[in-house]
Amino acid sequence: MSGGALLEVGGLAGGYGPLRVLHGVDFAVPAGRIAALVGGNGAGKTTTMAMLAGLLAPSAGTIRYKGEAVDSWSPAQRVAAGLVLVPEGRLVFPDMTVEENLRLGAIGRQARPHTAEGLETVYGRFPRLAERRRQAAGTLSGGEQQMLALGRGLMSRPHLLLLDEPSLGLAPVMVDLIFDAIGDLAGAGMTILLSEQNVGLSLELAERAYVLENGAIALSGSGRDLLGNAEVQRAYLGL
Amino acid sequence: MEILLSGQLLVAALIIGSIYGLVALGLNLIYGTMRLLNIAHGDLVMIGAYTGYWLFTLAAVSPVLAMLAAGALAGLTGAALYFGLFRRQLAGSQPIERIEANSLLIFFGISIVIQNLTALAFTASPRTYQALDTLVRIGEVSIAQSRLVALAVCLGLSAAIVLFLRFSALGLSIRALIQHRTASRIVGIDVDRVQAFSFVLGFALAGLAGTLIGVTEQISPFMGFPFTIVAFVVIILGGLGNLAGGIAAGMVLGLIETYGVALTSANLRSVLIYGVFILVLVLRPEGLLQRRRLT
Repeated sequence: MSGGALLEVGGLAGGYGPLRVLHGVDFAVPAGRIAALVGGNGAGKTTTMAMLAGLLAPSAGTIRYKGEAVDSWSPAQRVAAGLVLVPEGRLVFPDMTVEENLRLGAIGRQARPHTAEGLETVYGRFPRLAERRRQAAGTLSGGEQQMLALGRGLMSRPHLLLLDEPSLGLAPVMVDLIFDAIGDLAGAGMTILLSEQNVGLSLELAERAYVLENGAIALSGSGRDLLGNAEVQRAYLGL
Repeated sequence: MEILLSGQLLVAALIIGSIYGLVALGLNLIYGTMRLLNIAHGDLVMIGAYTGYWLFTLAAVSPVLAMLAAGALAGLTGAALYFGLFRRQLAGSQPIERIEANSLLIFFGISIVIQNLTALAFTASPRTYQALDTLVRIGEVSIAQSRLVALAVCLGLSAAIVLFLRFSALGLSIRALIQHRTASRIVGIDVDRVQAFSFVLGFALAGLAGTLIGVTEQISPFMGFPFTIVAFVVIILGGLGNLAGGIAAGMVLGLIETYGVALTSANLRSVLIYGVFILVLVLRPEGLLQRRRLT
């Protein structure tokens, strides 16, 4: 592990079939911190996240997690090692209850023995989910589904939480709630990679930030530096 | 009209319905978890029927034991096909819709190969055998022991599988894979293991049911196709991938078939089954028993 980075990505490239989305992306996520991957729609944030989770094979580049190359690992192996994705669009299991969704977060052999304490933690953090534990996930509001997706990710006992567009499509009050939860998690020592279109909010939270444009990193620095960067202000913050 | 009210007819309907439910459950598991359209499903019923026939004829093995051997044989066939053929396809990058379309053709070929190999080995002439044929009287109704065993085994196994799906971790993974493939990969379900299990279980159930069917029906290399059709009708009735709904739909189809034939004629059996199929596809393509999605 070099320089305390939990995740190091080098030269990541590829896409879907003939469509190349990423053209060599490099970044690192420091242990115990929030790193943000910001950029507009279509910049390649979700593609990057899918490759990190093992859902999509890159055509080039390496992903090192805890100092180990995980490129050939299956999604299940990555989850077992604590590399856990909370996907864009939530992707909850719509016809299953809230509790079944959470149980599925702990379906891996490592997390399963800790299901009961995991449920207690998640219900403690999101009392709304506890009230709706027997309700089908498909009947929840968008914000509640985002809580559920985040809770499901926590059930996997992550070391690095990959949060893909957690604020997308949510009402402002829900965005605040979700970002509060993200801040709390980081405060408790969780390492987080946050991908967001909500550039302002993410940069405020992030220790380290990368601006992704057209499948490559255009800018990087501390969140505060990028917040003060004239180009970022013009392109993403509407200042 | 009196016959319609007889317990005899009701029991006959329940027996057929429970068999349909179990046969269709195997097909539904494989379709639900992998989107593979197993047109050869009925041929596993046929393999199970022959297994029962030969074990009884050559070694006087009771169908109750033979059905376990048939389940094992069909399950092994499933394992060979999954690991030899389908695993690579499912792990590849092609979209699931393409796999679904290809699987129809692949299984069609497999079906023809199985049927013709069986005809070569055992001739095409139909066979029957007499086992478990003591009549059992329950009140007004008298039924052959074999049919009572079929009813008990099919209902018992269906119930056991529903409980397994509801309460075990593997069952939860199977339901998750049926509902959302990508989300299943994200939460870290070992998709390959769940697929292999579903494939083998689906095949084994068909083989096992086949032994029970072969005790009461004529056995021939080509007996399977009607069961493939029935199984497809049942899972469309119950909702594709809805396993518990399919078991209930099997009962519904058994009732429709039995009472429909009693009211009209045995010649109309196929017309009834296809009629139900077409009606459901036109009126409620998401399945008779499928919950409608709110979102």
